[in-house]
Amino acid sequence: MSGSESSSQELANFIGITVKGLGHSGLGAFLHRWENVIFSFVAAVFLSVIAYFAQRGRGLIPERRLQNAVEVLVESVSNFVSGVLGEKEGRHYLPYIGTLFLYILTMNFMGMVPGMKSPTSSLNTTAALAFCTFVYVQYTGLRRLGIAGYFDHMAGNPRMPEEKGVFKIFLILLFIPIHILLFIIHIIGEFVKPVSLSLRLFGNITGEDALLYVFVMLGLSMFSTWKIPVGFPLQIPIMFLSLIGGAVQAMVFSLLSTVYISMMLPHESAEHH
Amino acid sequence: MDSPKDKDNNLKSLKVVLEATSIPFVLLGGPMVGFFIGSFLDEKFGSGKIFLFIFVVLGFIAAIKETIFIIKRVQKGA
Repeated sequence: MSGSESSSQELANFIGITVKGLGHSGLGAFLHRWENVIFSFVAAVFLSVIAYFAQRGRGLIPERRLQNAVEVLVESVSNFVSGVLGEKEGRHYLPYIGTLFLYILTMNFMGMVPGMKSPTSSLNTTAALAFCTFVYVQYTGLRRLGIAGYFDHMAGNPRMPEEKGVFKIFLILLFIPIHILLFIIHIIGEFVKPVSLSLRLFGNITGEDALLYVFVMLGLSMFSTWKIPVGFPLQIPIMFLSLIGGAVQAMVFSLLSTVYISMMLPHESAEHH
Repeated sequence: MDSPKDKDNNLKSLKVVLEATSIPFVLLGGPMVGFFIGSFLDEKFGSGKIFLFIFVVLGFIAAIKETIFIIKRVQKGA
């Protein structure tokens, strides 16, 4: 039932079936290589179409159900982001975080649609999403803190000791290597964030896809003795679990992206680590 | 029916749980990042496995630092 030539346990999708049909042709190889990108693009097109139809003929008081549903969704995400960043900053970063959440949610749910695949079951997709967040967080830090403030934040906010005399010189000589070490540790810490984001999403969605595959196979094997080509839908409870898991993972990714942005914003009280 | 305050508390609890679930992946990611940086530097300077060891340790320290920060945030939010 696997749609790809690899040993990954996942249900067949229309690209995998097309690749099998095309054999060793150039188009088949192209589709196989760009499978996840194609499904990511399908998710993006789906969201764009929904957004277009939701805003078409919009009113201040929504009369159409689609506009109403999309407004509820946007307001929920806005409250979620504002809860971490505050009202003012939340509005500024809502477009990125909201897009990230909806995009990841759509891609996570795609695996449950027959003939489709979750692009987030590939580490390439999750790493790309995490890289986008990493670049955006560092850009936010540089823009909001300035270059000096950014490096000051990375070095752990070193401050001149208030003591005087020889003791001050001793402290400065001691603090310089410590702050250099803190700077290196902080740099590594900044890279740990996108790695953990990508691994978590990839691991969870791959696990859900593998679970779906196993239960579909079990369902098919139940009637295989009587040579019946249909199976018992044992995967239905797993699909409910995948719905919850997919939503939770999208929320975790978006929440942590929001937290990482908030850590780069200038704070009134020093809540640096 | 939950009051707005109850809904707010439920959302805060959910955020706390979601943040806490990132701890294992942060602890995994730290040494991994250190491993890759150390391997790259060792290959560049031909220094055997010195940088690998140093950066895996630094990566582990960075992971523990991030974990402590997550725990502080979780305790603050709880």
